[in-house]
Amino acid sequence: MGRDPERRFVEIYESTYGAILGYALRRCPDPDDATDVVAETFTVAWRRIDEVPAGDDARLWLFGVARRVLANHRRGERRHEQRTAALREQLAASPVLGEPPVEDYSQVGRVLRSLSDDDRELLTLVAWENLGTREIARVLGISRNTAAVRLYRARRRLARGLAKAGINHVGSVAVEGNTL
Amino acid sequence: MNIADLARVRDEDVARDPAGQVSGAGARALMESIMSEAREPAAVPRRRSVVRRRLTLGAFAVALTTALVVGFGWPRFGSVTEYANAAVSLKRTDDHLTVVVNDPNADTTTFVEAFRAVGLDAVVDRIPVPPQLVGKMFGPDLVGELPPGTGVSYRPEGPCGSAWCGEVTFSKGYTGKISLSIGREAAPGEPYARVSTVNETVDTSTVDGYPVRGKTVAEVRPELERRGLKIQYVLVQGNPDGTGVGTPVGPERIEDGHRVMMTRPYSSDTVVLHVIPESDPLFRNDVDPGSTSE
Repeated sequence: MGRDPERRFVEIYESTYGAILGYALRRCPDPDDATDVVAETFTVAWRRIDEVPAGDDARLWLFGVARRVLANHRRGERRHEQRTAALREQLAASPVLGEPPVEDYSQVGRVLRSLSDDDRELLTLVAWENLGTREIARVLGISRNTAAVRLYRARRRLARGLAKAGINHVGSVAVEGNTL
Repeated sequence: MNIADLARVRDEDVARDPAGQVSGAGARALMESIMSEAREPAAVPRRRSVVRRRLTLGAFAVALTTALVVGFGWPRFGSVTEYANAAVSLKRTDDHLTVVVNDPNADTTTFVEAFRAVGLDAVVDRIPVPPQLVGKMFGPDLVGELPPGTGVSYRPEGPCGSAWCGEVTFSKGYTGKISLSIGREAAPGEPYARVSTVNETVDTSTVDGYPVRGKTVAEVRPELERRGLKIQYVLVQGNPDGTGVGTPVGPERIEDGHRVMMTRPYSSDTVVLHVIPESDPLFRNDVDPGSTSE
C-alpha cells in the first residue's frame, strides 16, 4: 500500500462514488442525510487509505464503513456541512434522486421493516446492492459461513413475517433473484 | 413482488443522474474538500492520562451531585465501570453499556458528566417532540469511526421503571462519542424532530384521541379545523403489486371522498394526513373503515 495515497483515493472515489451514493440514498429518509453519509464514508477512507483493500474489495470495505456511519446517523441529526452543499444542490434539482421521502405502504415493506436491523440489512445488501454471501461477509467483517447462516435465518424470519401477514410469499417475493 | 422493488432508487437511476456522476460538480467538490484535510492516523490514541484526569474530576463531581461510582480502575479505559447521578445510571463492561435514564429533565451537563465518568465522550441535545414524547430519550448513538467488523446494536430492556432503559453494544476499542437526544416540548408551530421513534411511537390512527383512520377527508377536516389544527396532505397511490407511494400535495389535489390511511403530528398546530382514493386497491387491503370507532 505504498502507492501515492492521493492518487489511490481518487481512484477509489471515482470507482465507488455511485455505489456509495446509491447505498446511502436507499437507506436515508432524506437525500440531504445521504450526502452526510457519503461524505463521512469517504472521509474515513481518506484518513485510512492505507487500510482500504485493493480491487472490488474496496467497494465492500466502503459499504462496511457506510453501514456503520449510517447506524450512527440519526434521522434528526443533520450536519449538512459546507462541503456537501454542491451535492445537496444537485440532488435537490434531481427529479429522481431528490424526490421527497415517501412512505412505503406495502405489506412486504412493513414486514421488512418489522425485522431487526441486522436482518433487514442482510436482506437489502442482497436485494439492493446485489451482493453475494462472500461479499456480505466482507462488508460485515464476518466469515462466509457465518454470513450464510445469518442470511438463511434472516430469510426464514422474513418468510415467517410474510406468512403471519397473510402474504403468500411463495413465488411472489424474490431475494437475490430467487424466490423464497 | 421483490424486495428490490422497495428500493427508493436503483443504481441505474444514480448512474443516469447528474448528481450520481463522479465528474459532477457536487461529487468533485466533496472529493476535493475531503482531500484538503490532513490525513491523520485513524487510530485514536489511548487517552489514559486524559481519562484519569476525568476520573479525578468525576470523583470530585460525585461529592457535589451525590453520584454513585463503583469499580475504580477499569483496566481498558482507566475509568470507572459504573456511575450514577440524578440524570442517568451507567454500567460499562468490555463491550456494552447499560443505560438507565433517571431524570430526562436533568441538565444536559449532568448526562455528559456521567458518560465521561465511564470513559465516554457524550453529546447531549434536546429535540422538539410531540407532548407524549417529552422527556423520552432518543439514541444513544455512537458518533465517529468504529473499527472494521464491529457494529452497534441496542437492546431495550423491557418494562423500565425509569424514563428509559437499554443496553448499547459496541466495539471494545470504541473511543468516539456517544450522542443522545432528549425530547423537549416544542414551541408553538415548531416542526417536530424527524426521529424514527416519533413515527413508531405516536398513534397514527387518531389525532389527540380523535379517530381518523378510515374516515373521509370531508368527515375529519371540520373536526380538525374546529380543534384549530392545520392540515398537510400526503396523497397515497397504490400499485398493482401491493406497494404504494405517498406524495406531499396541496389541498387542491385532495377530494372530500378520499380516505385517511394514517396521520402523524407535524407540529403543535399542524397534522399530516395520508389519504387515499377509496377506489385504490391499497385502500381495500390497508384501511378498514368498519374498524374505526368513536
